[in-house]
Amino acid sequence: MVIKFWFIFLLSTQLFAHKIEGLNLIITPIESDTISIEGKMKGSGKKLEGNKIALISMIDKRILEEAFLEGGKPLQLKIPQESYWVYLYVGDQDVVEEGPAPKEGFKKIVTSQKERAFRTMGTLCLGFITLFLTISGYRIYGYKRRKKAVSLRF
Amino acid sequence: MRLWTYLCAPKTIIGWVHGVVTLLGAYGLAYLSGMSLSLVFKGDAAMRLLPSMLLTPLLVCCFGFWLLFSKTLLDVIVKIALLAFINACIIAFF
Amino acid sequence: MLEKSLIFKYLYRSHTIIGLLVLFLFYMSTYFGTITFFMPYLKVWESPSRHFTPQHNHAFNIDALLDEVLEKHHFKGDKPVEITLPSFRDPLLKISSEAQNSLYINPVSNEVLKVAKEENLISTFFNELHTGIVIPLVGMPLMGMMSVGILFLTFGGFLLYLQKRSHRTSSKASWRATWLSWHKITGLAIIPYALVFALTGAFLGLMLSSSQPFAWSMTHGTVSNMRTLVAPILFAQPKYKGGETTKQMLPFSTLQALAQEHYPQLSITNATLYHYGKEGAKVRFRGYDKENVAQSGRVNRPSITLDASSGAVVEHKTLDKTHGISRTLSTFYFLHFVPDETLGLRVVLALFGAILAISLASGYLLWAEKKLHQQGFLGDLTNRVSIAILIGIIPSSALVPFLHWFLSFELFDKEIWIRGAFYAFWCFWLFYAVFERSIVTIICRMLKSAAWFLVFSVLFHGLKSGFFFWQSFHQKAWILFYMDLALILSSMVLFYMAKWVEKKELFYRYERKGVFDGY
Repeated sequence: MVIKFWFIFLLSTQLFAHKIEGLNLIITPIESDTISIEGKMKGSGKKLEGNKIALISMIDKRILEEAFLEGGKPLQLKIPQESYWVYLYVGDQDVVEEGPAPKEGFKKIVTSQKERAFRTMGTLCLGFITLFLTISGYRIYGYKRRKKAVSLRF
Repeated sequence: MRLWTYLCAPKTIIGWVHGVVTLLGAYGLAYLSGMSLSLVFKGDAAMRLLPSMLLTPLLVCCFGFWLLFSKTLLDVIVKIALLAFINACIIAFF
Repeated sequence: MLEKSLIFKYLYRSHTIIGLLVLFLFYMSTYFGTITFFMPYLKVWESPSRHFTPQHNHAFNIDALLDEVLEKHHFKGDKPVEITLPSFRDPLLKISSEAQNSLYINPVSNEVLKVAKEENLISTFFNELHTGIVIPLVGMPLMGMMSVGILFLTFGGFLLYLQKRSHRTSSKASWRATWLSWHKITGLAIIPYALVFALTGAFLGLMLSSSQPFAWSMTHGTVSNMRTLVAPILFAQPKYKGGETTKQMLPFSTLQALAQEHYPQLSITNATLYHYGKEGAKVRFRGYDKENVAQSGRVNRPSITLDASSGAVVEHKTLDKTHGISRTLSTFYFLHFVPDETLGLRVVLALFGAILAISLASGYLLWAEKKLHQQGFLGDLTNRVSIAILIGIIPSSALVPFLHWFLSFELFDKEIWIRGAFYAFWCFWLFYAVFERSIVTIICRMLKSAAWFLVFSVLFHGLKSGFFFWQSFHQKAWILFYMDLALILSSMVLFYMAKWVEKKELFYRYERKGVFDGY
């Protein structure tokens, strides 16, 4: 219960959605096109149990599989045939990772959308800030030149 | 020698050095006082920790004003050193 | 000690310097803090799943549903299950447990809902901007330090005011005198409000995360984590042992009625189920004390625990049995969060927040007035940057509710798109503030775009949710109606302000005396 309150203070997502500070969703592909899924706390290494895991298709967002994490052993699920996300649900939030492909590759693929939003918006922001710096520099330069011209005339 | 005259010169206005030293000094002294208050209060852990946490922001302001109204830079440093010493004694003693 | 004139000089200069240092971040915090006074209502407005007409006092009956829901969604077990009853903060019933995803039930139709996390985008984002947590690592402590700065400014400002009264300087009718009187009057008016919110804010932002020295010194250098020392005392959770055999539980509504009977002062907000369905199952009803709301805030809830099969009282924790520090902490948190209070108090506090923002802005304008008469480009540059930050935040934040309803809820990473758009738009205004020559045009464009975005957000809210404001009025969904109304009124105020800025001579001064003319 102490952990619960600590959790509440800790759970904050900032620039990265679908990620939780201090929590890792670990997906390891194992033989015969299966993946082993675990959730671990970063600091203590404690394994999560009882949480819901869902495999959701990237193509039409339908739920491909649902299961619950059990204590003791990692959850093993079959890799779907299409691009999918692995969702780990914790309280009101979730941790999402793109699931690894099977050995033969996906039958239906969607290009990786990883952090596409972040990259687009980040570029826009940096672009505007650069424009701001350029234009203010240009204006200041113009002002200094005019001031010098005025003072030279006397 | 030149450093000494710089420190002893009466200030007519607050410069960068005076300002920064006051800020850092105020925060440092407030936290040190909070630490010694935690030791001095009696009671269980909650009763000793939380009052000092509640008081610390106010202490920052108090020390800030106290350090602000110093004629010379030397005064500021002496004030900080004095209180740091008193707090260190309290912490070491309890 | 120091002579009077030196005291005044030091106070004045420190007030100016600390004011400028603290201004921008704290203005952000005040702006978004004022918005978050209305967070419960904003949460309902932004979530499609909360768009229904709540019944009188959120009357609900989950008796028939409870057992089946707990079984189906893996809630039965050894971990306590928390039920949050519907309230003005959230009209849905919530069932949650540690390390599991929460379940939401519509209390009118009793249907179990799939609530996407993306629903609470706006309120979460604005709250994070208010606490400063959007700045990685140092955000919240930094905001705490700004709050300490405001405390210093409030005390210093008041001392300055006392000193000035004995000075009686010449009363020239200049803009400087105008800004000074605005700053003085608004500053004096918000002294109690600023002190309370800055002190509580400093505690929450700075002290909670930097409590290590105190813990370290108290335990003579052994433990430095405050939470491990304090939590067992203040936040101790009861542990109940459950039996193995299943037993018939009394219906939930019966238990709730019994609890209310035994503890009539309690306004029940939560219920915790321990080992439900088994021998020895207990239900603990928590809430706030109707006669002492401040001391029974969210960190110090009184409770009554009943045995779930017989209804006998197991434990009755009244307010006076709680720890003194818990009560103090609860009052502290109450002052900052006003958790269980409804609209009236929030509106009053929001007005104070607006006055605080005006005080901060007039302080800046006072300093800018001095700079206006000096040589150099720095004054003009700082004016434009300040406009971009202090006023540019208005259209940028108006963009957020618009995008929230405009973009599809299915969009993955919608949260990042919207946050990114906020920042990008803000950066755009930064660029525009130095690109466009006329300051009046800049301010007008900002205010007008903000007004249009608010109008469009109301429009798209109606389109996408099916609850246009005339429909929410007709169906008596009051929170939705009043939120839409508030947004429309705000946009009308913004349109009016844009018109007003164009007419005032004041703003044209900054253009003429500015140096950023010519290309």
